Amino acid sequence: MTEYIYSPKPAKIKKIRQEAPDTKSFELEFEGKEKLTYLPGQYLMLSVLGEGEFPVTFFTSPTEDRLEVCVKRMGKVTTALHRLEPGETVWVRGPYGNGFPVEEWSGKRLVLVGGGIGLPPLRSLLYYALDRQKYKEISLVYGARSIADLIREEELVKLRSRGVKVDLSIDKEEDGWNEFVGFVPDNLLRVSPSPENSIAVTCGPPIMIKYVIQNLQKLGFEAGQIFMTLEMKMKCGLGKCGRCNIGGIYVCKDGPVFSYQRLKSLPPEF
Amino acid sequence: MITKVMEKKKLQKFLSNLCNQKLFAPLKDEEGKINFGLVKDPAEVVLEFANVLKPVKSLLFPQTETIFEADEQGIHHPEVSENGVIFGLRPCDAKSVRLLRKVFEKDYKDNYFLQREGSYLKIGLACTVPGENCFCTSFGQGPFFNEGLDLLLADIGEKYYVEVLSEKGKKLVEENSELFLEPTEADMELRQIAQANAEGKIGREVNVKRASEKLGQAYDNALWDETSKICIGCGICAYLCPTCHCFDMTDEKVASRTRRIRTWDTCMFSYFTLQASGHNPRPTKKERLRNRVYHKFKYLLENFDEIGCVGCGRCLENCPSGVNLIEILSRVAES
Repeated sequence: MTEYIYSPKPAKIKKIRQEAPDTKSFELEFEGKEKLTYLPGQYLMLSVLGEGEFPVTFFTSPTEDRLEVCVKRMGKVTTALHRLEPGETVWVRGPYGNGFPVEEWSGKRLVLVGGGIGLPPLRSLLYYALDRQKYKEISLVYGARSIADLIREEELVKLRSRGVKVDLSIDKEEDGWNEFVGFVPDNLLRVSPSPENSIAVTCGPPIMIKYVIQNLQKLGFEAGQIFMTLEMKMKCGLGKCGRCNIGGIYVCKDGPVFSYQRLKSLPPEF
Repeated sequence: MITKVMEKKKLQKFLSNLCNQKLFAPLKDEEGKINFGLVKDPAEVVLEFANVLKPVKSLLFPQTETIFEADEQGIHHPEVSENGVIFGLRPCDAKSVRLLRKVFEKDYKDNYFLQREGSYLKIGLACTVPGENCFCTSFGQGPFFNEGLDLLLADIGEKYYVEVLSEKGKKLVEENSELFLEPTEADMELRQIAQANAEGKIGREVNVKRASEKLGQAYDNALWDETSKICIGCGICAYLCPTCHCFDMTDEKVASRTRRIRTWDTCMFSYFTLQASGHNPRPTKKERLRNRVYHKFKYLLENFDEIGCVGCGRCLENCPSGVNLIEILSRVAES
């Protein structure tokens, strides 16, 4: 039988949650309750048929019994997705990409640094690390513009009782906010995680990533200890359509997870 | 290698035998351009031409094709296998298929391309009169290069000299045995002369190997800014390039059906890399032109051990603003 690599399979939207004013999460269920095997940091190509397809990372960890993606309304297809209701069908293919090298990191401290819609891959990794219990300490530094823009604030706060060091921030002062006010890179410096036996993983807007890297280096992190997951426009997800290259590599299949060390050797086209 | 000759007057008969299946060959279109078209009358096949305007990829990887259609019943795939013959490929175009196949085969098999490509029998026509922008000899191939073909025909005056290059080609020759003769020593000599003549007519040359090596240090060279200034970003260089393979996939709604189509796309367009957030990793023509040259002469070499250019000269010939790949490569080589 001919294999068609660009053809998605149906998934039912089981549940939708409003996560921020322009962000919703979607719990997906496959026919026959089929379970997808994936790694944190990998992604799906998600279609709203008739509108198009876009790459989206996993919000949940493969160790959890449900599958969620979290999507900010940005363009044509994400807007169409936001209009769907529970019970409607989306189409997905994947998982694609390399994901986080979770095995290599076993025994290490994890420092996760995220901003805004950069949370989903970090949440997936965080729950994976908690459930696998192979990692030393887990620390999350996460922020957003405002309280309303923080994704899963309540859930993240509760993680403190499971031993995760959680440091949240919002950019500007708001009533009822007792945690850090300021940008994520500044909160990172304040929290000042130790680079010893640590891996730092960051995801967020490009400008945040830039300063997070600078500050991680100030704290003594080496380029090989810093990882990030990149966003690029993608169509095929399989290294053929040509648009997500940075130099000779394709973010869709050689990434989206890269160490800062690897990225430094590539042209600055991301 | 089996070799034969065919008297020129037998070619019409050969072409009409080929018409028993789908035959694509150079035809003059309504605008007077020579392009591959479905042959209805063998007498229409054009034999005097430098090269077809649209490269052979237009048959193997169409400018627009359906990836699937979807309705309430699910997803439906199109039939892509053509089982036809392509007659009149120039050696450069035939070579380009090797690179395309590598791209569409690696890691994940793109069966739209692979099935279609594998279903065609390819009959080449050596270039006895190359075009003025041809520079295929810079790539260690030439106007009589026979790779990627089932048969190669070369005009030696009164006859075509025929190289039989595959089992498929051998079978075709056997099926049409009455049209082929054994070559004489004089025929072989004429073929050697024709090849030397044709190679001598290639007027352009560039040190591709050196340019490729030099790209490693040329990223920040001023030449990208200078050479891209005149580019209007129309993408014709990529659309007519036999090895450019980038594509877009978009959805169309037709009544109650949805169709996902694939269309050619190019890194010369700003939209190619523009993200929904407004961020564009290659924001200006400089980055885009540089990426195209790097992709062809460095990245494909790293990933597929293959240069993404066959020296067909279409980009030189058809660029409306005169962006000149040979000049760019020469500047890189000398940098």
